[in-house]
Amino acid sequence: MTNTTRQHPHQATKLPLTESKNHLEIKNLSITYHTKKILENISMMIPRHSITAIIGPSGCGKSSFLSCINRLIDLTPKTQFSGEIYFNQHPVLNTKSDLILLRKKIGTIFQKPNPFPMSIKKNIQIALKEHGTKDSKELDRITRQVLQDVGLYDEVSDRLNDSALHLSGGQQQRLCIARAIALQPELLLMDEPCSALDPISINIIENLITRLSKQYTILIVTHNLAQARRISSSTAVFWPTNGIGELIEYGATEQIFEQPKNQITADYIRGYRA
Amino acid sequence: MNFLKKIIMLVPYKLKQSHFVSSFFWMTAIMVTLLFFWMLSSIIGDGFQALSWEFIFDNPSDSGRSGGIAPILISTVLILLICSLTTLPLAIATAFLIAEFIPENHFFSIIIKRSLDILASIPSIVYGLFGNIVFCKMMGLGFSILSGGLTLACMILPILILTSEQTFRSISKAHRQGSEALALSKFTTLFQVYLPCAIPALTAGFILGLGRATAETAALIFTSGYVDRMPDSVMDSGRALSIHIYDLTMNVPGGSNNAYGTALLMIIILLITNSSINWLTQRWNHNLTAQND
Ligand SMILES: Nc1ncnc2c1ncn2[C@@H]1O[C@H](COP(=O)(O)OP(=O)(O)OP(=O)(O)O)[C@@H](O)[C@H]1O
Ligand SMILES: [Mg+2]
Repeated sequence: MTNTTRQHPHQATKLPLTESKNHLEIKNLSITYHTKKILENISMMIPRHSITAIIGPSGCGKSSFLSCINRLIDLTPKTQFSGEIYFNQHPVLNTKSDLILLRKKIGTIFQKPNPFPMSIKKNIQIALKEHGTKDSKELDRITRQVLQDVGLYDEVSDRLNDSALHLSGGQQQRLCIARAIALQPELLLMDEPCSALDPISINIIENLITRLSKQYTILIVTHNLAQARRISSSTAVFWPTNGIGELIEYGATEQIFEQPKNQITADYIRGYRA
Repeated sequence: MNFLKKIIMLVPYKLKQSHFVSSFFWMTAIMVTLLFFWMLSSIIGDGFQALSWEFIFDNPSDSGRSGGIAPILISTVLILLICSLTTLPLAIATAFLIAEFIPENHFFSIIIKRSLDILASIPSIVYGLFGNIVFCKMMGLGFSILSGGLTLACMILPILILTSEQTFRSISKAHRQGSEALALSKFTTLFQVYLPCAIPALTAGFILGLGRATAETAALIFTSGYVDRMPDSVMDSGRALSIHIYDLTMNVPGGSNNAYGTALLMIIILLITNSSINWLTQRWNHNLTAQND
C-alpha cells in the first residue's frame, strides 16, 4: 500500500523526534460544547500496542474524548477544545494537521455497526480506492486478508457481492473493523463496539480485539466492566464531577479492579454507583 | 398540530371512549376516498369512449374535435424530459451543497431556504411570464418545447431542492461519521454513500415534481405555446396535454369528449410513469438498502 510513504506535514517541523514508547499522548484536554464544558483536564499516555479501556457512566464525555483524537469532533459545530494531543509525536489538535492522513492512521469503530449501503466487497474497497490502491488484484488480496483477520472470510466468501446490510449485527461490526484495518491504521478507536451484539458475537469480537492489539494500539470505550477487565491492559475511569467529565483514575487494569485508589472507582466497579 | 391536540384534550373522556371520535375520522377518510373515486369514475366514464389506438397515434383534426393526440403526446414527453434532465442534477447538487457544507442554522442556509420557500409558492403563471421573457425573448429560444421545459424546470426546482435537502440532512449520522472516519472525499461520499440511501426519498420528491409539471398549463401557454403539429425538434412550439385539455374544454365547442379522453390518457401515463420509476428504483436499490432503516 502506498499510504505509508506519504510524509506527514509536521515531520519536517517537529524536531527532534524522540523515540518515545507512547503512541498517543493527551495533555490537559478540555472540551466545551457551545457553552457547556463537558470534559476537563484529561491527560493520558498510551503506549504502543496496548489496549486501554475507558469506562464511566453515560454522558461523561467518553465518545467526545474519542472524537477529539480522530477530529471527528470537527463535524459538530461550536465546539472548542484546549490542551494537546500528540499522535506519533505529531500534534492532532492543530488546525493545520492533515486530517486525511490522521484518519487513515486512526481507524474508528462506532457503537452501532455502520456498513455503507453497498456490497461487502465495496465496503472494504471504497476507502482503499479513495486512498490510491488501484490494482484490482491488490484490492482483492487486501479484502481477503482483512476479512480473514476479522474471521469473517469463511462466513461471507461466497457472497462478497451481496449487500453488507444483509449481514447480522455481529458480522456487520466485524466488517466495519475489517474496513477500518484495511487502511493499515496504527490506532483503533472503538466506541462501545459490542453494545449492540449478542454474547457469542461479543466473544468473537473480544478475541479479535486481543489479537489485533499485537499490531495496533487500541482504545476502547465500554460499559461492560467485565469486558474492560478481560481485554484491556490499562483502564481509565471518567467521572462527571458537577457535570464536567474528569479522569478520576488511570492505571493498570489489574490495579484499578483489584485495588482502586479512588473511592468513586471502587464503588463504581462494585456496582454501587450508577 | 398543537391546536388540534388542545381540541382533542377538550373532548371529554367519556366521549373519547365512545365511537364518536373514531367514526368522525372514518367519515372524513371515506369522504375523501369517495371524492377521488367520483372524479376518477367521471373521467373514466366520459373519456373511455374516446380512447382508441387511433386516438393515441393520429394527428388531431378539426381543432381536436376528432383525430388523435400523437403530436401532443410527443411534445409533452419532450417537455417533461427536458424538465427532468435539467432539474435532477441541479436539485441534487444544490441540495447536497446546502446540506453538507452549510450548517443548518447558519444565516446563509436560512436565506437560501427562505428564498426557496418563496419561490416554491409563486403561482405558476408568474413562472410562465418569467420564462416567456427570459427563455423565449432574452435567450431567443422563441415559443418552443425547450423554453417550456426550462420554464417548468425553474418551477419545480425549488420544491425539489427543498425535499432533497431534507433527505440529505436526514441521512443518518452513522453514515456521515463512517465516511468521515475513513477520510472519504465529499465526491465519493455523495455518489457512493448518500445517493444510494437517498434514492427512495429523492424519487418520491421527483415524482411529485413531475406530476406538478405534467399538470401545468399556465406556465406553458407563454413558453411552449399551443401549436398542435408534430414537433420537428425541441426548438418547435409544441402543445402539452394539459393545454390540450384546457383548449378543448374552453375554446372548442364539442371538444369535451376528446378532452376527457386526453385527461384519462394523462392519468394513465402518470400512473405508468410513477409506478415504473418506483419499480426501477426499488429494484435498483433492493439489493443494497433492503435492511436500511
Ligand atoms: N453535539 C453536541 N452538542 C452539545 N452537547 C453534546 C453534543 N454531543 C454530546 N453532548 C453532551 O456532551 C456530554 C458527553 O457526551 P458523550 O456522548 O461524549 O458521552 P458518553 O460518555 O459517550 O456517553 P455514553 O456512554 O452514553 O455514550 C453529554 O452531556 C452530552 O449531552
Ligand atoms: Mg458514547
